[in-house]
Amino acid sequence: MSSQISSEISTEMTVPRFFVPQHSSTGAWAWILQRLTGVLLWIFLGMHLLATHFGFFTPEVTSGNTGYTGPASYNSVMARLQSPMFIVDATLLVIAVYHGLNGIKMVAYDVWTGKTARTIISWVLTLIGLASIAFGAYLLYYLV
Amino acid sequence: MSKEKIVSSETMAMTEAKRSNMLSWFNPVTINKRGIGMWAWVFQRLTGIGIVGYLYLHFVTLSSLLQGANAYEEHAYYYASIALFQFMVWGLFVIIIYHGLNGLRVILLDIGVSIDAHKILFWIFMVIGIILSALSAYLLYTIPDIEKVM
Repeated sequence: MSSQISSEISTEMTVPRFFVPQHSSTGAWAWILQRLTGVLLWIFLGMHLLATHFGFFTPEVTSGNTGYTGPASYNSVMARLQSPMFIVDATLLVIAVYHGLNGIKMVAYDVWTGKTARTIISWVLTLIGLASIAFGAYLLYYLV
Repeated sequence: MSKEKIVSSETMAMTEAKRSNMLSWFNPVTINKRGIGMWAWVFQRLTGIGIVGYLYLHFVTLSSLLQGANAYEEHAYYYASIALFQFMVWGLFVIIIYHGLNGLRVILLDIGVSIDAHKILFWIFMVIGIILSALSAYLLYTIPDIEKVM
């Protein structure tokens, strides 16, 4: 029954299928969130790379510990974290960890298809994700 | 229009992957029978795994911020002095650009846009990717070494 439905969906692509999680074996919400965070990563990661490598969205810093005052310097990082760019870095921490580990979960689910194995994978990756976000949050909290 | 034509290569690749394991991505028997969509899907996963690897390396290197300004900038100067790292940063830009553009293509296909033209869409996105990669190479070449790596 269910396989009949999924094969119908995969062969008839006449309706908008955005909310049909047929491409994912990890659930509808994970599938939608993977797309949503993917689009958000274009904006937030783009801003992050422009800031850290090319000095965009970075307050001007006049003094540096080693004489260097560019966007990668310690003082620039601190100034950026005290500017509205903090919101970008904090959001990026959550969506990058989620998107990355959910992607690993998709790969792992294709390799290990057993129900018990998938439950273990899901819990292990959830714990790794929560620990990563906690570590990143500690880093941001400590620095700001 | 026949039904087989409308099945996306991603769906076929997913089915193939579910039958076996990651090694099947490189199975020499089926490797020549694959369309560009399957290769796009394989590289989407490989680049994704690589980027997650970098994400955790990024956490490790950034933890030197906890040791204060001098420790952080010493680390930064050390990484910046290694030419291989500078090149790998550009490599990271390239795989992120590929993963991002192919991801957008997958979303477009999922929504239902250009489902018949996914190969054309792939090559259009790859041209955009090559332009963005060249632009990032130029921009990375013009900034100081320390700003390349951190």
